Amino acid sequence: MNLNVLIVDDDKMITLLHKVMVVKTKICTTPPLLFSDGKMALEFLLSEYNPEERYLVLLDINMPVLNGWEFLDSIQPERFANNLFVIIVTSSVDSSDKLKAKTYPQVIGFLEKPLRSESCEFIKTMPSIAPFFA
Amino acid sequence: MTITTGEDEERLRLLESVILNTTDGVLIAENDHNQDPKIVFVNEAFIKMSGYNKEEIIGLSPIGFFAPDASSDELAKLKDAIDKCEPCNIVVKTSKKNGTKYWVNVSVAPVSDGSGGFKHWVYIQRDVNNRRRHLQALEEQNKKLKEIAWIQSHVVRAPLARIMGLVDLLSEHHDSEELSNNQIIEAIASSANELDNIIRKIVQNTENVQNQSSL
Repeated sequence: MNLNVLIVDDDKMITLLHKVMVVKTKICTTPPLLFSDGKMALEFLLSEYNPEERYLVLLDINMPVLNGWEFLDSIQPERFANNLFVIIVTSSVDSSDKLKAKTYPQVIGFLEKPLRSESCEFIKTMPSIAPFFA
Repeated sequence: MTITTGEDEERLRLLESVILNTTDGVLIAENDHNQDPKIVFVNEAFIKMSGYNKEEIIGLSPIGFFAPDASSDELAKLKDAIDKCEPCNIVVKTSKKNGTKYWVNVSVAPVSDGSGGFKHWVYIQRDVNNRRRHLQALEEQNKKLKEIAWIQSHVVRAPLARIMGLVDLLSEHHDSEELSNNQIIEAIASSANELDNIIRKIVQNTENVQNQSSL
């Protein structure tokens, strides 16, 4: 089964960097999809979501239009069930953000920017998505 | 009738001098049947603090005196203590005769009449205006510092994280169609500039906080 990777960040250079990293570390086999705010990512999921597929969202918190928290609030409905995984990737080192992230069931990880090779390898060991890389 | 000896008189004079010389405002009020207690004594410090003269204060109710500017919570606490004959301590905003508002800490204590009843109340009022102002200034400063901490975490780290990621990529001799090495170097330079601007802004904000606190 394919894991579709969505990179959601308003910093263009970061989305490019993260794209290079996830391709290089083989987190995704198909090119990742890049979105510059939560709304665009949400609209994509609402229209293109396929229950046969699995989705991994690398989500920034501070973004215009629809920020990371608002995005998470909008995907609360059971619709995506266990097919959607979110990893928050933020420049924030604020512990309150980390605590808040834990309140969302879809959030399987909280990483600091930038994504480096080690953080990508770590993503591949996260229990909920490790089977994709076995 | 109590008979006082010379020693007792000496002791009373000493105690009285405390009330007369303290910089805390002192009121003594007497219970007035079922009405609010009435002020029967006021010391010089209270007169100085409030701007009212003795004649204007004697006969008033202390509750009435604090009522106009006090919050309903504080006033309820004071009334409740009087009803229950219990001591209480409140911080209220009150007015001087000239209209100036100031903050006072008021300690209220019932005085036993020696036969199990309470006929008198002692009100001790301390001017806490300066302390209050300092507290407000500190709270304001703390808020600014929290804002600065937030900026550090969210705004400063953004270009820094970008630089870290770009340098990683560069050091791995990466050269792809997505990002050429030249593009990476340009992006590092512009991120460094961005970081510089943010830090300058923070320094300026911090200086503003410092200037305010030295006022």
